[in-house]
Amino acid sequence: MQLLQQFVNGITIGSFYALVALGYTMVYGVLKLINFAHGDLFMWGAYLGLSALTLLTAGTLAGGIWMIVPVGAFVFICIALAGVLVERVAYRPLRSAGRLPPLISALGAAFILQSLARNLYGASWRTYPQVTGLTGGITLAGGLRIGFMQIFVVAIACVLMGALWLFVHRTRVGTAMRAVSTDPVAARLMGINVDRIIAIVFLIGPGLGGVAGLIVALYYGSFDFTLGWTFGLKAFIAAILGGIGNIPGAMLGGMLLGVVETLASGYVSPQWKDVIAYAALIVILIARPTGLLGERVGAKV
Amino acid sequence: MKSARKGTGGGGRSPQDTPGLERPKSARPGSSPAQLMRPPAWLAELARRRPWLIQLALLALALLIPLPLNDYYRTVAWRTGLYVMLGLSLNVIVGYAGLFQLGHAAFFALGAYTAGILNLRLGVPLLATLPASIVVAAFFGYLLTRPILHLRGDYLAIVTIAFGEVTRLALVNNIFGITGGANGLSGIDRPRLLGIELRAPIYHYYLMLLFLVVTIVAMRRLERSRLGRAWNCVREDEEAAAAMGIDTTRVKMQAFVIGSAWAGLAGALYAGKLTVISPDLAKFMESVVLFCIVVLGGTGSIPGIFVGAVGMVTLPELFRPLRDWRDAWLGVAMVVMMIARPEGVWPSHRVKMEMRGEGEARGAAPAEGGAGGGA
Amino acid sequence: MTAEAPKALLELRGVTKRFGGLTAVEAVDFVVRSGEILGLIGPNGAGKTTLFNLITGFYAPTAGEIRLRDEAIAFPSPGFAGRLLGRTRAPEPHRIAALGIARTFQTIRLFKNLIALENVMSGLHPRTKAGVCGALFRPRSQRDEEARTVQRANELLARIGLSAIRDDLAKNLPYGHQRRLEIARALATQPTLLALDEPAAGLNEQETDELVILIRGIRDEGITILLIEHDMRLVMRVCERIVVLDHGKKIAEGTPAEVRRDPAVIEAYLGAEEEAAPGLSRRAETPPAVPPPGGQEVPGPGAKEV
Repeated sequence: MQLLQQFVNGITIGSFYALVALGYTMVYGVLKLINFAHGDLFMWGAYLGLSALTLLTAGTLAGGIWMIVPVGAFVFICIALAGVLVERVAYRPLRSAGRLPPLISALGAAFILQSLARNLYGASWRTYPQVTGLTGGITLAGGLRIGFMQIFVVAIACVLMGALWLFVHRTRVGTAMRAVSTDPVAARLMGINVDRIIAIVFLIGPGLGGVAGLIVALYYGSFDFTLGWTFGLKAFIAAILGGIGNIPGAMLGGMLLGVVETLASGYVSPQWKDVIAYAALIVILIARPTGLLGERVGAKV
Repeated sequence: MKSARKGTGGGGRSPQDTPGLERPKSARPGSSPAQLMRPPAWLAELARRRPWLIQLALLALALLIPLPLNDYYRTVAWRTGLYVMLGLSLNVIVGYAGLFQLGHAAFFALGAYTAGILNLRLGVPLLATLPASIVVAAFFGYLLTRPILHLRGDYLAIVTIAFGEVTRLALVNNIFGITGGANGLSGIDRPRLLGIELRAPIYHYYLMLLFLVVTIVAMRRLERSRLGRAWNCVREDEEAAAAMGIDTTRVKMQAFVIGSAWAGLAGALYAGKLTVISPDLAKFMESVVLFCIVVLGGTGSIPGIFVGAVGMVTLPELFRPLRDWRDAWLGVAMVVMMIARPEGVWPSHRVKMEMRGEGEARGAAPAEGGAGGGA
Repeated sequence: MTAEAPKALLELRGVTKRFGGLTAVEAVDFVVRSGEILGLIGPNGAGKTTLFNLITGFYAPTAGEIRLRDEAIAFPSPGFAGRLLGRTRAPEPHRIAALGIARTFQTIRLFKNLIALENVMSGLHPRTKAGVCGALFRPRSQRDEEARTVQRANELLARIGLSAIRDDLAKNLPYGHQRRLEIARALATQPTLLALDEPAAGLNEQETDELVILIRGIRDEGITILLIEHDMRLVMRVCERIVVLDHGKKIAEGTPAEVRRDPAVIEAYLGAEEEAAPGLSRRAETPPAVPPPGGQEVPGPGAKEV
């Protein structure tokens, strides 16, 4: 039963990782760039959500969980726009500059975002207002406990991922995205406006990340400005695990990482769970850089 | 304030550096927007004809600088020197071999902890721990690189970040019970030289200066050796280098191990001065600062590293208000530099060519040295 | 004059290379004899450069083997299981260079931001040995080695006739000089076999003639030459034997005279694009003289006295 409980917790965390990992993987897919700023955009989602919720309520969320929807939409839009801004300012001028400049620029953007958050919101931990209707949970036979919050956040995550999947596979824009991922030059020749597609990717990826920030903060209750860093790296590991550039891979990787990490925390030691995650990353890149579903990342003759 | 002891002018390689060659025929002033950053012509000429004069002047400057300063500023000077040394060590990996290393601080921490542990647990005097720090850092450098050298740039960066974090967490978690956990180790001895304990900052400064001079000499020698040439070739075209008999994997690994070992040395010196060390030494932010010192200061060049260290370390120390927003300013600097001048403020001659001369051939002789036409 | 059996320097046995579904090279067998100039020709896409990559260790064959003197230098990679059993991989390119095979590239791959002298010096890497300690401590042996390296590189540049541009950046050199510099760099490795991949591409007539002299001179110094070329005049002039590939298979082998008359060869070239072998199709109309191996050349139209 302990195992099943861990599994449930793992799935919850995994869905967070999956949502954030999607942002990394989508951007990598079209630009072959690791968007280091993504984790901090995710963190900004948590902060913006905090501000919005605090504004809408004073203390406890009287309106209950229904407040989350408009707040979520607000966060999505803001972070999506922030994502596009980051792309325009920090990445677009460096499209043809090799591998190093975009990497550094991405890191720089991440630092700017992090520093802004720290200075504007303060360096201490911030708490989210309690959400009535989401506290408590159900207890199944055998002592397995599933919180309402867990159900709620996993549900949101699944809805979003499902929507993304539909978007990518059933709409023209989504197909164009996949085309640009596969071969930007050919896509351009086919008449696809690659710049616009990239902008759309930077809308959706960070947008999803921002919403993920909101629900992560809701779930954990409190956070600080380092959230982006810690979570971001984990989500990135999830993306690599599933195969970077591969959307189902990111979802799968996220879930897997969440479960493995929770199990490790429960059965090995909470202190070492991060180390295990990072060590897993190193091992994956050495042994199977393709990830579970994706492309090669090595440079072989 | 520190300045270059050697490595004036272009700093990095130039045809003059290759033994047996005469100077290039001309060093036409270029037409790039970098004009503002170039020293006056008479200075450049002097640097070219009598490089040792400049070097001597800078050394004298470095020796005299701390004398009029108070202890606080002497420590600032020491810190600058430390970061120059760290920057130089990373430069071997990033600038010479062209690898992405975003976890360099881990080796610095490993060196510091080796010194601390040997000193606290086994009573080894600090200066005697230096070789051990070097060896431990080199060893971990070797361990890390063997399996990852084939990875493409971004992925190499990620793995190095991960390794840095693993190191930091291992230190925090008090691995093997010897690292003291999140609070680290304290009470480390200061170095003793001829029976005298070096306590005042000024002694540490001179000790650091000594090691720094040795480091710079070593770097220059590496640049101009068969190994240095091999690094240049590998950076230019790895497959062609392999076809010419250069074992690219080995050469890259040598760079990595050398760079890591040197960081370990710096770590031991740090432990001896501060006497307190913590896992924060291996933080990602530290690695990024080091990376920026090298890349923003000027990839591949020794003067560039000085510029970078001053910019990253000295200025924030001197202008306190910058502190809170340091990360933001760093971030801005990173983005802006990459867009405007990706080769850094004072890059080596060669890297500047690599970055700027893409697809466009300049005039017959190397168009513009980094300032001074190379020395 | 004496008929001593020429020794096989390089031997290809059943070499096959597949990339996924594409078979680039299939069951190719031939021998490069010590001291000869062997031409490797064929229409575009025939697999010539792939063979070069196989010979120099950039690819491992899917099947078959390549032997240098008596040592196997290319063979299929043992899989994971094979490696567990202790089987080693074929030598890597730098090892093959050390063993004595040097090459040039179809698209010139000089070290663009290094000067000509440094390019040639890089070729001396496998013949020198100073390492980290040598670099840091500069013992007498290292300093002597450095001086010798520079001197040897200067000599090579003089041999190739490029002393004047010694200090010029490789990327700034005129095309013809770049081609020759690449050869000088390869020669610096002191090869026993020099593999030239289209050394005449883009050269004008005079430069091509100079190239012929150079190639012959190199061979006279005892270096065996394997040559990929599309310029048929050059091939016919300089090569003693020719191997013809088409679609990855060897379709002919022999002296230039034999190969020219071979119906399979003619078919392969006339069937392919015109521009693949302009020399050959023009030749079909006006059979010129062909130099016997090592003998004198009867000047054809427009050719210089050699």
